[in-house]
Amino acid sequence: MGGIWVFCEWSLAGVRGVSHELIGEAKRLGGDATAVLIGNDVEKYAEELAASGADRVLLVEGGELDPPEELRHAAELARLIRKYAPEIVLIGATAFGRNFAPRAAAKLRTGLTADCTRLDIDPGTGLLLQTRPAFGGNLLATITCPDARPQMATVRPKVFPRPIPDPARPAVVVREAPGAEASPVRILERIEGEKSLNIGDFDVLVSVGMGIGGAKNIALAEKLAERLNGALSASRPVVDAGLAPYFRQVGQTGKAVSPKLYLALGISGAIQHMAGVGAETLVAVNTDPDAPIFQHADYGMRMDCGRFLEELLEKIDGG
Amino acid sequence: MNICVCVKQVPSANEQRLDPVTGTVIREGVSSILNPFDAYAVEEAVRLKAKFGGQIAAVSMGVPSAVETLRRIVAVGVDRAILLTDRAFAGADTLATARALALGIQKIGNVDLILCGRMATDGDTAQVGPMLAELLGIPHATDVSKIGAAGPEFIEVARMADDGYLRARLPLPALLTVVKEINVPKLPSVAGVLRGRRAGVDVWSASDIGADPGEIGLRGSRTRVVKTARPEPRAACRFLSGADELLEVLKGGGRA
Amino acid sequence: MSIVQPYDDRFQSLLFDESRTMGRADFVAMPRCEEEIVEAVKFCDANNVPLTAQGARTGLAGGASPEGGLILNLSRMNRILGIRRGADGRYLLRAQPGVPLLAVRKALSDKMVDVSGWSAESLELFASVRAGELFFSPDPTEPTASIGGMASCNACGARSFLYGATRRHVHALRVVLADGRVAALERGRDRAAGREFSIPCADGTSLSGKLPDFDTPDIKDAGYFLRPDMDLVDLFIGSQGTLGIVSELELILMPAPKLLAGVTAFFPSDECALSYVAAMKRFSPKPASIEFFNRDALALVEAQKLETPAFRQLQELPEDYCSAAYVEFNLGGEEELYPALEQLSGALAEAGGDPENTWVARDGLELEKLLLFRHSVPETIDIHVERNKKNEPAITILSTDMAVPDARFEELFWLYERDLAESGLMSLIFGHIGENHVHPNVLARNLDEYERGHALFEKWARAVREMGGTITAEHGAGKIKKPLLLILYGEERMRTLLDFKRALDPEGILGPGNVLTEVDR
Repeated sequence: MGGIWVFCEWSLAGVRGVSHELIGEAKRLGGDATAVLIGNDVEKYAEELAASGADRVLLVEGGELDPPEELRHAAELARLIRKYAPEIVLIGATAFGRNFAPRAAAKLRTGLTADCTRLDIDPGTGLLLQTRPAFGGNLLATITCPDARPQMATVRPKVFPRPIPDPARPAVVVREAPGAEASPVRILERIEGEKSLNIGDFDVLVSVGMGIGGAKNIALAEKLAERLNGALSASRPVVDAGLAPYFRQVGQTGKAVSPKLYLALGISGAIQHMAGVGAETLVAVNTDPDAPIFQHADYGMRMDCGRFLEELLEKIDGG
Repeated sequence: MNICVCVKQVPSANEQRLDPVTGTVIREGVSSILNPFDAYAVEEAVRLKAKFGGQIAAVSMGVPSAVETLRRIVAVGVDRAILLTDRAFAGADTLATARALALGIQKIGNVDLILCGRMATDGDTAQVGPMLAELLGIPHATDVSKIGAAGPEFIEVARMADDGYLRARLPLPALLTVVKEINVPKLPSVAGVLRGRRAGVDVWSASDIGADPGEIGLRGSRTRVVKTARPEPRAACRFLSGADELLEVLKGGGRA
Repeated sequence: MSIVQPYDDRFQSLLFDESRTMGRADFVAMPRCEEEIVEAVKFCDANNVPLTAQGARTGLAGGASPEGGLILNLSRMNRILGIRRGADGRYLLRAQPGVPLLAVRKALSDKMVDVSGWSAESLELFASVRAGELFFSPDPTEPTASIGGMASCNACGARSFLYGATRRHVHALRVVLADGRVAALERGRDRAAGREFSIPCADGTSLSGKLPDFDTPDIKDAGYFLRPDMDLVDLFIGSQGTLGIVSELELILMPAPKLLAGVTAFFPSDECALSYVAAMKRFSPKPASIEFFNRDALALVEAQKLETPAFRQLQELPEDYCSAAYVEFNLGGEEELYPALEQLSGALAEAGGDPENTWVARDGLELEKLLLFRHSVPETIDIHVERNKKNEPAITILSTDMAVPDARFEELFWLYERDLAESGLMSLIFGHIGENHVHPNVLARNLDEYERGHALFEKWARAVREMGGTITAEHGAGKIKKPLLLILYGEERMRTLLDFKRALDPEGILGPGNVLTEVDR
C-alpha cells in the first residue's frame, strides 16, 4: 500500500469536500490512491470516497477517535505510515489539517509543504513537485522532499476540482485497529460559529455599492453569495443608508478583506473602499464604464447589476 | 509559570517590489521587524506573567542583527532574550527550525508554557509551532484566541476551529500558537524603552545548544526549494459579455 | 458626448462631504482631463449654472457640498504625471488634482506608481530616487484627501507644526478660470506687482485686477491669502474653488526623515497636560507635531470599541485616564531617539506625568498604531453625527478650529472647557495643540443642541477675534464656518472681498456658498 495517501477529514456534516478534491488530484498525479479515514462510525463514507477515485479506504475506527483530535490523529496516522510506507501523503489545509499535519510530519522526521496550489510528479526523479506562493504571493516556489518519506503536503479547499463521482467503483476497505496513545488534550466544549459573521473569513465576497439598484438586488446578491459559499459585503454608503449592517462594511472604516474572489457590484471603486480590499480575483459589474473600479478589476462587466444577478443565479441554479 | 516566547524577525515588506522604471528589485526601505503575530504572543506572555508570576524568556533563531528585535521585546516586559545564531542554522526549513528552537528551549530549562505567533509573514506555513511541540514531546493547541483558567499543571484555552471554537484543556508543559483575536499588543512605555536599550541579549551558537549538525540548517532540512518563478502578472481588466462568460472563466481558474 | 450629465440618485453620495452637510445639484461632470474641465466650466458660464468642485470629499467644512448647479467631481483625474528638479534643486512632483494623498505617499515610499506616459526626463529622475528618500509633508487627518482639495483648502495636519501647511508645498499649478480660460502659474515667476495683478492665460490674454487694500490675517487660513507682491499661485490655494478650478499641481517634495517616532502620554489633569505641551513647544529636537485629547475624547473612543470592530485593535487606555498628549518626532536615526526620550522623561515628570504611563512608537510601523488611535477620534465623531443626523437631518459636524497667538492660548482653552461644561452639551476637545488649534466638538443630539452649539461657536469667534486669532485655522470656511469669517473680517472688508471675487468670477458661478457671505450694501 505505497502510493499516494489522502487523509480524509470528517465532521458531523460528513467528509469534507477538500478530501474528495485531493483524491481526484491523487488520481490525476497517476498514483494508486488510498483514502485514510480515522474516526468513529465512518465506514459509511467509504463508498463516496471510492466513488471519487480511491482505490482503497484504510479505515481506523473507535469510539475514542470521536471527535477528531489533532494529537491523537497525528499519532494514529504516523503509526499507519510507519507500517505501510506510502510515498506521498496529502492533507486538506483546514484548521484541523494545518494543525495536525506538522505534528505528524515532525513525528516522522519528514518534510511537509503547506498550502500547495499545484502538484506535479517530476518525470525524471519521480519526486512530488509541490508549488506554493511565497513572498506574499509575488513568487511561486516549487519544493521537493528528496530523501525523507513520505513526501507530505497540505492543500487548501477549492484549489483542486471535486471529481465527478463514479458510483460504479467498488469500495475496498482495509481495516486497522486504533493503536495510538490517548491524547493529553481534553476537549471541553465545542462552540458553533456566531451569527454575526466575520466577512474577513470568507474566500468569496459578493459586495454591493450604491449602484446595486436597491434592496431587492441586495437580496439577490446575498443569495448569490450563499450559492458561492461566500458572504455578502457592502460599501460604506450602502451601510450608511441603512441597507446593510455595519459588520458587512468593507473599506477603510469597515473591514479589510482578502478573499480569493471579490465581486464588486455597483461599487465605484473609490479609494476609501479599495483601501480595504486585497482580492486574488476581482470582478466588477457597473453600468458606468469609467468607474475607477475597473482599474482594479481582473474581469469587468458593463451592465446593470440586477440583470447580472438574475442571469448568474439562473445559470448556477439551472445549469 | 515560566514562559518561553518564540519569535522571528521578518522583512517589513512582504512584497518584492519592483522599481517601475528600472524593473529591479527595491531593497531600500525593507527593514526587519518582529513578525506581527509574535507581538500577540509576547503580549499574552506579559499578561500571563502579571497574573501568575514567573519569568518570560524570548528566543529567536536568526541572523546576528536580530538582536535588535529581541532588545525591543525586552522593552515591553520580557525578562530574558536569547538569540540562536550560527551559520549552521541557515537554510533551515520548518523542521530544522523547530529542532534548533527545541534545543534552545531545553537549554533554557524549566519552561512551563511556550507561546508562538500563529505563523510568520514571510514563510506563512504555520508549521513550526506544532513541530516544535512534537520534538519537545509536549501537547499543543493552535489558533488560540483566549487563555482561560490556568494552574501549575494545566491551562485552558479557547481556540478557533473549522466550524467555530473549541475549549480545550492541556496539561503543562504545553505549547500554544496564538491568533490576533487574543489581545491588543501594548506599545512599550518611555521607561520601558529606556530599560530595554540597556538590556543584554544572550547569543547562543549551534554548539552552545548541543545541536547535531545533521538536524539543523540546510543539512537538517527535509524539504528543498528547487525553483522560484514569477506568477503571471496581473493583466488589465478583461471585459466579459455577461454571466455566462464569467462562470466559464471562474470555473477555468478553478475557483467557482 | 457632453461631459455634463443631469444629476440622478446614483450620484447621491456626491451631495455631501465629510461634514455631512447635505447639498443639492442639477448636473454632474466627472472630467478626466483639463479640456473636459474647461468644457464643464464653459457650460456653466454660458448657462449661468453655479459650479462646485470636489476632490475626494473628505473636507470638514462643507466646501465640496454643492448648493445647486453642477458638481464638478475631479476624482477621475487621478494620475501622477512626472517629476523634475526645480531651480533650487528641490524635487517637484506633477500631478492631477484628483490624486489622493495616499497615492502620492505610495509613489514616494514604495515607488508604486503608474509611469505610463511619463517623459524620458521624469523616468530617468525617478529611477535615480530611492524608495522612501522623499516625502510630501502635509498630513491632513484623512489620507484619502485629494491633493487638489488639499490645495483648495490649504489643508494642514499634525505635522504642519514643523513643516507648515499645504500652501508651503505647492510650487506651481494650472487653473481653469471662471470663463474657461486656463492659466499656468509658478511660484516666484508669476507675482503681483504691489496690489496690481495680471494672470497670464494660455490663450495669450490675461486676467487683470487689483488686490484688496488690506492683507488677510497671516495665521493659517483666513479664507483668502492676499498680500502685495504675492505669488499668484497663492490666490488659488485656500480659496476653496471660489476663484478658479485647479487642473494640475506641482508639489514640493522634501527629504524624508529616517526615523518616525511618537509618544502618547497620559496626565492626571488638563493642567498637567497643558504644562507638558508648553514644554514640548520649546523642546529640542522640535517635534513634528503635538496633539491633545481631553478626557471626553478618550472616553468617546473607548465607548465606541463596543460597537466598532475596527476599534478593538486600538491600544487599551490606562485605568484611570484623564487627558493625553501625543508628540511625534521626525529624526535622522535611532541614535537620536534615546537621548530625546531621556529628556522627554524629565519633562514628563516635571509636568506631573509618568514615564511608565506612556506609549512609545519606535518606528513607522509602531507609529501606525498611534496614528490609528489619533484617527479614531474624528472617526468616532463621524459615527455619532451620522447617527444623530438620522433623527435630525439638519445636524452636521460641529467643530471649530480657531487659533490664537501663543500667549492667549490657555485663556481660550479654559474658555472652551468652562463653556462646554456649563452648557451640558455632549462634547470633546482634541487637536493640534502645537499650533494652538484644538477642536472643540459638540455632538448635538437634536436641533436645539445644534443651535446652542452654533451659538457657542459664535461666542468664541468673537472672543478669538478680540484675542487677535483666526477663526478657521485649518478646515477652511466652507459653508459651515462662513458666519465665523464674517465675524473675523467684518462687513466692510467682506464687501471688498466680494468685489474682489467678482473680478475673477463676474457671473458668480464658482463655489457657491463657500467662504464669503453676501452682505447688504
